[in-house]
Amino acid sequence: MEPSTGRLDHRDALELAEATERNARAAITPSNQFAYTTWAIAWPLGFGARWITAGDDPIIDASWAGNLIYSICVIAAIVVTAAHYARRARGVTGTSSRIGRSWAFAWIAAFAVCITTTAGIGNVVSSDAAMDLIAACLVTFTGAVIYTAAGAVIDDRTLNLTGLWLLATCATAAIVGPYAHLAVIAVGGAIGFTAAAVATPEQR
Amino acid sequence: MTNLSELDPLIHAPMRLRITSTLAALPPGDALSFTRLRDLLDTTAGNLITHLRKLDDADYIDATKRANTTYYALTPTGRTAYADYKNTLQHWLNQVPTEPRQHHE
Repeated sequence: MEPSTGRLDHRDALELAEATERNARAAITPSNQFAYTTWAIAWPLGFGARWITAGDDPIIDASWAGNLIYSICVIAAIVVTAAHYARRARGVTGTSSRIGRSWAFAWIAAFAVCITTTAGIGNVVSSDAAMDLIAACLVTFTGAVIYTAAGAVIDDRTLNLTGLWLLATCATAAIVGPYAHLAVIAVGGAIGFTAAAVATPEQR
Repeated sequence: MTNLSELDPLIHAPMRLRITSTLAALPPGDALSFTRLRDLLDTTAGNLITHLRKLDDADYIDATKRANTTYYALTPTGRTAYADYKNTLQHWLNQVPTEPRQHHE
């Protein structure tokens, strides 16, 4: 612990000020690199599990297991990311806090609409293959649009490019069609999130 | 040349320098709770309160109480004082030749 009284020489004082600022900033600012890395792991595992278990002639005939692994990966990634952001933002109030709440609400609202839209389409479309394609592309498209728009608004080039990459992945998956679309989304997401994690500087 | 007496005495003390540096790391419009500030500075509540009061008296920090939690932020006066303090140090260091540092036991 630092002494609370006493004097500092000039060089010590400047070093202490800069080190304290740096450490405080790292402690209270969520790490985008951590979030990208989390999704770089969960995304290909989830969509990969669905790809190898989906379709009429799957690599592994256990679609229930694919859906279970996909759900676990997505939920785990959401929980880990949210916990990280909440931990870093603990005790911070004001503008950042409001932006964080709006950001979280945007994701929750967007994916709630994704689920209801997919369910609505499911009521009128009888093909499992079509539903699988729509559901996977809709989720990818929603995330991609949020990333692209948010990256443009806050001038975060990595976020913006990751969103554009996911949009391209989504379009490719839609063109490729069932059930290879799941492999395209798995690989495209893995590349996009890994590149974003590598491109994001580590906070010091 | 700038001398030691020109440095703001309110900031030029280890704990108050660490408090102002920590609050300066917050984006404008944000404030930090007392508990989080204490954890970040790894100090005791009593010690922190003493120094926060001095900074508050000088209008360097703003304390806002919300639901049993007090949040602290630098005021515009505090931000200016901290920026001036760092500029003064930097100016002084730019003028003196670099000397090998002595090890203090």
